[in-house]
Amino acid sequence: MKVPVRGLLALRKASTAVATAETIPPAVLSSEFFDHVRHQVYGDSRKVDKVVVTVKTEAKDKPVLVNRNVSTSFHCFNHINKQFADDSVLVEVIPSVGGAYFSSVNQPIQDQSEVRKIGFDTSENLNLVNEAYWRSCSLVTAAFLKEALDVDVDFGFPRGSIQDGYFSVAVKGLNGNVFTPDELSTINRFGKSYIRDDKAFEVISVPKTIAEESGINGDHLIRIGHQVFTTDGPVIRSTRQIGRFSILRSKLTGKSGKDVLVGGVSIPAKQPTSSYSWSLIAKNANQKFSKSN
Amino acid sequence: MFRPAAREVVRIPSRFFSCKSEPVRAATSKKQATKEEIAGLIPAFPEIYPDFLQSPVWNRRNALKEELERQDMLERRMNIDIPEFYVGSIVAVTSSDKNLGSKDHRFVGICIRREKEGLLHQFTLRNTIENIGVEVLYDLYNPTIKKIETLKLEKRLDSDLGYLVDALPEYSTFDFHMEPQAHPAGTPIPVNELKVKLKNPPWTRRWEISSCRGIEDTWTQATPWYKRKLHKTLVNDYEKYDLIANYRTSSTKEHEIYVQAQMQKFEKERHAAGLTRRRILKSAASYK
Amino acid sequence: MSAHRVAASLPRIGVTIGHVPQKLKTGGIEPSRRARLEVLRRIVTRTVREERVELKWNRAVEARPYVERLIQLGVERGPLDEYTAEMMEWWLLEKDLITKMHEVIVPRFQNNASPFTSLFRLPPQRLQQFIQNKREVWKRYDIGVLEIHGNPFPPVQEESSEQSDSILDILLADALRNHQMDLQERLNSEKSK
Repeated sequence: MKVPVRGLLALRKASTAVATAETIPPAVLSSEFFDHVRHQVYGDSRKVDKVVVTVKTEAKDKPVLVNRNVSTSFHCFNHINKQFADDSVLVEVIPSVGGAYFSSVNQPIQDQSEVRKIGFDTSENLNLVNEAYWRSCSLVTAAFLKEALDVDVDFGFPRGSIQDGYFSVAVKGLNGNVFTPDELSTINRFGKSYIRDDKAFEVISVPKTIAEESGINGDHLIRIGHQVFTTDGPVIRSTRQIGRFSILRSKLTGKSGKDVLVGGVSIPAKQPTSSYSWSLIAKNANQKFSKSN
Repeated sequence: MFRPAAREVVRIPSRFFSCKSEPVRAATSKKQATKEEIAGLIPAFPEIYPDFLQSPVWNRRNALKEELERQDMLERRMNIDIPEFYVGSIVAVTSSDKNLGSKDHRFVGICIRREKEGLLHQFTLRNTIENIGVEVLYDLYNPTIKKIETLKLEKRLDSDLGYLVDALPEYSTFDFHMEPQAHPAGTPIPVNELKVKLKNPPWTRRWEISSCRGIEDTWTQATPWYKRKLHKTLVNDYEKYDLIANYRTSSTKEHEIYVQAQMQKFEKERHAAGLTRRRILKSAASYK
Repeated sequence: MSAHRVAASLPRIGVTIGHVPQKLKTGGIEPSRRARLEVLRRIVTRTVREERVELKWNRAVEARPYVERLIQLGVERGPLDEYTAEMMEWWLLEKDLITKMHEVIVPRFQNNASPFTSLFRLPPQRLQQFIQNKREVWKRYDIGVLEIHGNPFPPVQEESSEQSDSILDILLADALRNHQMDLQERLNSEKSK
């Protein structure tokens, strides 16, 4: 498919369809839908309730007064200092009632709890961070691809891990046309500028009832810029935390052979690397992606 | 590879000049040819080609020197047939002598030792001429040597038969016009387990303390003075247990394989050039 | 050298051997070649029995090629060879070790080449020698650990896993590993051509 260069940069118009309760088809994920679900899960933003959240740092714990269901862990961390908040990738939330869980930083806090910041340098939860990072990369790719492409596309997120050496996103709707090298370079340029814009990953933790009602398969709803996706795990805080990023290749996959699998590799901004190392990593990712089925 | 231990071999009493050839007992049963044999390599290489080994002094081993000498040795071997012989074989050497004019000088004798490595390799032949023992030292690669023939191919119990000096003359007498006895190819080299009788002492060396196995009963003949002296003699029979000292003087498998490969290559090139069909790398005991 | 049997030459010993044999201190006996061999004989016996020994560094360096050679004899010639039997008999003072050598140690290395042993260096130790007129005399020794491969003990040196779990490290380590493998494959394919 030869999409004209200008066509790639055309912004897609937002659709206003919202899933109805009777048929429960898979929801059309849009910005308005996201707001709607947020309203459903977290209630009216006009009615504001205060809650005390204790932020755990190495030095001492700092209790912070924030708005329930509105403020996120990011806002709590901002009370310490900006750098502390910027460095946070995930957060471990230990509520006063209930078990501890890991969540994204931009997820609103619902109860009085203790929060612990997890960054790229936290040694205990590195696996989780890695997973979240890989997940976020796939989501970001989907986000800017959706922005860039002229056609109506849908995305699948195959399970991958850091050990694969690459992350992948399945694009449905391209009619079995893989990207040419020219298209890939344009996509890369667009993607990089998209990421540099410091878009936050807004997260809603969707409880089961609302999920079933609205036709969301997944326990989290994520918004990046204007694009909305469902996912099943925490994501990083913002696209600013993504450092080197590159979409390497695309190939056909899926049962019908019509889905295009796009593969890429990325490293956090906090872990700088020389261009030689990056070239080795990119080459390795390329080879592994080509070899995988 | 199963090899029967020495004590299992039955010793038959020997007679003078008997050539005991017992191929069945001496042969090691090789059911499957090893990889080296398939490649044409000879396991008995250090015995057949002692000149191609490295210097027994570890520090004098020099790859370049060995390489240069080896090239010259192989050239020489292509020009003249240097047969296989051991210490204890009867060898005839025809060399040219400037004082004899066009006539050749031929000497027949038993090889009593082979020394030195490379182009310096020497062997000594001993015979009795007009009741006088004569030992002649030849350089194997002496260009004035016209012909070397092995009249009788056999081995003895020792690698140095210096004791023949003090042995009765009949052990060193060999007929100059002896007919060459052909060794059937493929049979192992016969070992002559002859035990030599010495003359009355005094001897040139202290044969009673040497570990030569080819001398019959030195102790009875030794004089009382030497027998008393034995108390004070430093007998170094532990030297054979020094594994690493022996390693330093001996040859390694890698070197042998390397040299043999080189010899095969050399042979092939010369045969391909068409000048000669002489074979350098051969063994009388192997199947070819 | 006996003219009886043709035994194939042994391969090289894959261990550094000094060209000058060390004069080892031999206790109360006058140092001589025989005394040195006796010291080495005892070290070799102990090494074969315990499979890992700690001793003075220079002795370990000296004894290592002897252990290698003994194992090599067992591997190349087998237990029924006359020369091997004689050497094992002399070098291993405790005779049950000959059986151990042939049935336990040699089978480990059937398809391997030298080296069969490893030598590690420990920090120098300061040991008390004796007390002379109420004065303690201490001496320093360099210590080495000589071990035969395949021994049941945990390894002397832990394999340092530099793998950290951060994203960059995982990706880079994977990339480098595959890069190495590619180079190796290319080298092998070039060699085979």
